[in-house]
Amino acid sequence: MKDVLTTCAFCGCGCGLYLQIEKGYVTGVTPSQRHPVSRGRLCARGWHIYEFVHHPDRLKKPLVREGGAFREVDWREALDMVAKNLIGIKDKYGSDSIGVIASPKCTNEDNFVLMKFCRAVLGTNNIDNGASLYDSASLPGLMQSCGFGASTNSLNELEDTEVILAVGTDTTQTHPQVASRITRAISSGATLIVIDPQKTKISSFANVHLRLKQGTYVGLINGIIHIILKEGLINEKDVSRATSNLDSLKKMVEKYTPDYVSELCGISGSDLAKAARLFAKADKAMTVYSTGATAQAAGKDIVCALANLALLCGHLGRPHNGIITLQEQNNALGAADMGTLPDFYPGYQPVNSETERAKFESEWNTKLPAKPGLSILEMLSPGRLKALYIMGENPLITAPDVGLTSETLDGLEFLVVQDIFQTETAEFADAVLPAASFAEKDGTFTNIERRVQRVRAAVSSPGEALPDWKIITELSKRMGYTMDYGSPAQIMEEISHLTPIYTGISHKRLDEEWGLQWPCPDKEHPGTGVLRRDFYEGPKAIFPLIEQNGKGKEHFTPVQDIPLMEPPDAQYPFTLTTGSLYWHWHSGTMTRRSATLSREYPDVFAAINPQDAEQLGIRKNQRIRVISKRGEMETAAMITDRVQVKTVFIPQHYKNTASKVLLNPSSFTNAKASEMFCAVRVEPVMKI
Amino acid sequence: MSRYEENLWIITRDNLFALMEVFIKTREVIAPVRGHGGEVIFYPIETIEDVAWDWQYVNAVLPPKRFFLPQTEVMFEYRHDNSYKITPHYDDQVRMIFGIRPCDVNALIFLDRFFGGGSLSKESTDEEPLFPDSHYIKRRANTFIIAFGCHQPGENCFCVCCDAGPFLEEDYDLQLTSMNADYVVEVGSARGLKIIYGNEHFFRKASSDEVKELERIKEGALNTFADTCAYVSKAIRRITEGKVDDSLWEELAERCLDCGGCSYVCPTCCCYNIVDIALSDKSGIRTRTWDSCAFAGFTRIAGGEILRSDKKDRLKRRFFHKLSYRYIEKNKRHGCVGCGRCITTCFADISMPSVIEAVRRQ
Repeated sequence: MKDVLTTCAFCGCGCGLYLQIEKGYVTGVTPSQRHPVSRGRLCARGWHIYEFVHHPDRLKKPLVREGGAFREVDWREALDMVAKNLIGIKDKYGSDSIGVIASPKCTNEDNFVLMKFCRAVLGTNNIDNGASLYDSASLPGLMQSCGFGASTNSLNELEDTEVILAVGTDTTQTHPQVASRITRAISSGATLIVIDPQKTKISSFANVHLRLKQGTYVGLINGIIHIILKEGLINEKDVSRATSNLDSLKKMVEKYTPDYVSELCGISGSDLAKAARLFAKADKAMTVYSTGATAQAAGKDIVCALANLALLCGHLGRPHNGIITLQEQNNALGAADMGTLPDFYPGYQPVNSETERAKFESEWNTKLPAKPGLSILEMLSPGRLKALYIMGENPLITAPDVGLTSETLDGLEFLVVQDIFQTETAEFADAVLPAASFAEKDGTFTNIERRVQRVRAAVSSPGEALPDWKIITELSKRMGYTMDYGSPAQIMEEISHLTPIYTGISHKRLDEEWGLQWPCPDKEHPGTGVLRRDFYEGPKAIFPLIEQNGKGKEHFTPVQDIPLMEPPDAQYPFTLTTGSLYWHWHSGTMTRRSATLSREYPDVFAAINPQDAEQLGIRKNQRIRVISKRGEMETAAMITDRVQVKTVFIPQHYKNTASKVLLNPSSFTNAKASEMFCAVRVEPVMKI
Repeated sequence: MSRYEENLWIITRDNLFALMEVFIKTREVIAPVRGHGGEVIFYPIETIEDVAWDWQYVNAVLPPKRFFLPQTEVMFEYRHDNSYKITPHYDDQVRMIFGIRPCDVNALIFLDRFFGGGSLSKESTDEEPLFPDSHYIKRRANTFIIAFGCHQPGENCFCVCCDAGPFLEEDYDLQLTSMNADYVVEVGSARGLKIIYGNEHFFRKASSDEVKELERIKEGALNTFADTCAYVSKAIRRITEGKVDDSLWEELAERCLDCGGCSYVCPTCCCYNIVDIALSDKSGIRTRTWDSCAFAGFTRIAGGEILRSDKKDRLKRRFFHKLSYRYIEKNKRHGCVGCGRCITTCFADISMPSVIEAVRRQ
């Protein structure tokens, strides 16, 4: 019996917890008291994370499809078969006919090895990770404005700021650690401004809740900027010193007068002005946002608008002033850091830059493709690829359109799925490879405040399951390229060697501390809590991005509002939204197997406003039908004023949710971002 | 004072180390150890160096409850061929818990009554338990306890208001207290006395000066507590009489984030859920896991209805259960031992002291 300190594998907060081990089994969890994020606290998900680890459904042996069924095989047979097929497809159709989906749930080391495999062995940049389905906006949005596509500040700073602007985030449900910091800030006198169509627990603490119409975020934020400019509330000193492009921003927001915005967003002009003044006049203010803002076509624009607002008021680049992006997966940031992106190598070094490519080619001793690859939505569109390699991701549940996704998966000549459970996606696979869970492997996760933290093996894997990185290296060997790593620590050595923001990071150092926040440019560097303004004048070699943006400064990126892809109309008068529940996580493969967590919401439901329920004659728990232009689903009604009038909310975690059947597939053709909204009609299955 | 009071002993630090080495060889010894960054957790030790010997810590995040009621355990496995065959799983490990604080010992006495019908550290139980829990009882019987008195309570501690510390007066085997470079040993049970007599060369009788010094240390410890927690009895009376307005629970419910942590870190909370996991068509295991009355699903019944679906009702129930005289009478003690862990673990500052204070102000 021994307790093993590791990092929670659910949300992006990255709590430190000890797994309690008894006779080779994880039997419980102890929160770490001195860990800077958990501080002795865990949410219900964290407290129950041990429950799925030894679930009998865990994959224990490799599976190979034969006819309509799977056959258990040994590793040798499975890997030979996968290697043969991948080589065959590569030879026949070329490297770019193969795609790879990496996982924001797996470790940095797993993702790095998969990324290297994709680029150096398969020879394509067709790699993306599952987090891009929800948040493909933060990376380009923040990078364009602030130089880095990640949170600028640390979570604990929230407690000591004066104004918090929370945008599109049901924080208590998705990121309880962040929510508690917000409520603590409020109890010590901070002001909270919430921009969200939904009523959330956080919004009940708000001084101003701007309950805008869905799809009007950009208009609203531009409206706030308009007021700030008009009333002369900008932080002149910061803006003139550190930012560029103010004139075009001024021009862009001209039309967003209070009258125009209150009409557009359905909010009162006085609330708008109040929010603008509170935010602009504060000495310290922080912005937090989540998938409510990013999971839509306008996601990137919303992030840019928020960055514009923060820059304008000087609420960026200083302690207690910054933007925190609340990624929902444990290693969403790390997966991106590791270059599981179609256009970036690790550390956001662009693939189309000759110098970067030359560096990786010489290190890896092979030729690398120059052309940026396909995004996850492109890869999941029918007909784009011949083969797909999926690690720890379940797009059949998480991608916006289950119909299109299954058409894509069906149409592939070869599909490999590497996971801990036989997921819905794995049912389509030609080979299923059993992977180790977070409790069974060493490595690192990077949380939403850029903190790279250790994940430690506490128990052995069930059956023959192997760590993801190990599976990839074995496969790589069979495809003629040897990756010789003895341990994840060695993989991290290569990561830090090739990734400027990770240079000072090693497992040894991480073991001595509570993780390190990147950028960590050398072995003595203590890590970076606040991405400070003065970094931009610092050692530029470490920050090629900043140089690339060419400004050496943060940058205003004017944006204008675009309507929802599918606004409601007379025939489909409701807006369907989807999102997370506190008790579940992501596609639910783990939380639906936890007895305690799944007991809270065992089944999918559709939440509607009491006003709509009365009008339609729908009672609590009654079976209702939700119908979109593309399909329909039947489910139980939940009646709550947390959703706006003429809105339906269906949580995303369930197998038969079908909410995704209804969602807008046009996001595929647009291929920029998945939009988690569409127009629907609601009716009772039986009239009572 | 216990009836073993004449047996006040002194053990030097070196002798205590030597004695511990003997124990480590013969059983699993659980002790407070320094985890990452110096935080304290209870954990089986391999050598005496593992122990956080400075004792400069407040309570560990989790009480040693898990060594008697693990967060999850397999209770039995079943097979169904022609008939059912049930094989119980018992934990037969012989253990010693070293360095447990008086509040946590008092909590164990509380659990003894719940699972075993009376205090299991005494030679006989008060009454025949209605549903003796063999899993708990076996673990408890196999565990010897060496408690450590608190001469320097932590900032969140309020055991003194709950009659659960900072020193034990009954229901323990051995209680150690630091005195100068040595430890005073109080004996609270025949089991404890057996340890002394079995290792007599490590101990010497305390002198009358040392007895006086111990009294002085105990008095001194009492004086270090803040006096605000004296409102416990007021809270008990008002909750028992139903005089706490629901608006209090409503206000708390707005803040609670549903983590269940208060139940999990509480040394007296012992609600559990039963989960059967099928391993095949014909076999499976029955497990039990910690559960919390903070969860709505805790009162979910067939048909999906939830009896306490309002969070305010769940919070009210929780504090009612801890503080109402009805339960104190039934359990023969407080449902709270004043360890202060809920203060650390709550996202929303809903802890026993904050609720007691809110009841007073209402």
